[in-house]
Amino acid sequence: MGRRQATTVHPRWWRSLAIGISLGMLPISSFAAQGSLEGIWKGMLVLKKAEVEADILVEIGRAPDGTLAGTFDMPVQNYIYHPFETIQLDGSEATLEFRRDSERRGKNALFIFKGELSEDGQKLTGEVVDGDKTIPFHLTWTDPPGMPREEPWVPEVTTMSDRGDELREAFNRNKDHVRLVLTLSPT
Amino acid sequence: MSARVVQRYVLDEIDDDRLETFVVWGPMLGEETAEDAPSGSVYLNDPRSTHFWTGEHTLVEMLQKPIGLEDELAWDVFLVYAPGTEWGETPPVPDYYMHHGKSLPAERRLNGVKLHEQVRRLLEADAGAGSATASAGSPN
Repeated sequence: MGRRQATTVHPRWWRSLAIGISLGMLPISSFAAQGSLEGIWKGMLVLKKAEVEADILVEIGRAPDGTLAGTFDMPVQNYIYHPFETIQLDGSEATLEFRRDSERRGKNALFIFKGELSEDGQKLTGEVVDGDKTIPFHLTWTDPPGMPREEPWVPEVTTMSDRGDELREAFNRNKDHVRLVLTLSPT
Repeated sequence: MSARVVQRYVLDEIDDDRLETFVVWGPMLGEETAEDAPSGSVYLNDPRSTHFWTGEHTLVEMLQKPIGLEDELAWDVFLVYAPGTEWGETPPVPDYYMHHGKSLPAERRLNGVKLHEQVRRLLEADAGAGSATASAGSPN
């Protein structure tokens, strides 16, 4: 049987974890070691491959009592530092549970990341269990927990006239290029 | 999420300065404002992308006809144009398009892999045309 790490994290813990990590109060050592979940993991939820995919970020560290604690970000759903309720590693099998309101399953529904940690400890791949549905995910270890998160560059957005004259001008100015025009909602 | 798919499958994977992307953000759902736009543009933050905001539906009405939409506004559409295409009084017909959730052919629903292939096809055709022109113009 593999090594087992388990903890139960109460919702109030996530803030102190995040603060503790950001202030460097928690030890940072051997985070990318084999068999460890500790670190910042970045990846995707693949609701439908190449059609509907969402960025996710998982950060796992140790609470002051030594147990594993962590949070989950999915910016497109406005989830930032959403706390995991339990985090468990049994051999290479990881289980991370969190709760959120679900349109389909009601308030405070349980969601479970069930994943397989790669031998080198760099990849975590599996499915998020959403009641009777599953959504594939893949995560790659990027940094130790507590490392500052890189702020993405946000491109400037120009307000244009109703008929899109500015778009037309830019489109024609780049006449010798292949051009992709997208019409999207920001929310 | 559509923006992320375009970034990941097209812009991240096609490193070619002959590709330009124009993104029009607007009130597809009805209540979005210009202040919301950066929360979308962050997912398409490639230097080859130019971002616009419109608070009206005029432009997406103009884009209906070129892709065969009748009653639905052309929000959540992905239009690809070959080099040489010009936008006159009205938007031109795209060389290829995809959509999300429209009453258009299901095989044209947004798929990052297919969109990548179509963009790549046009870039390669353009490169071929360029070299053919160069060959024709060069002395034997």
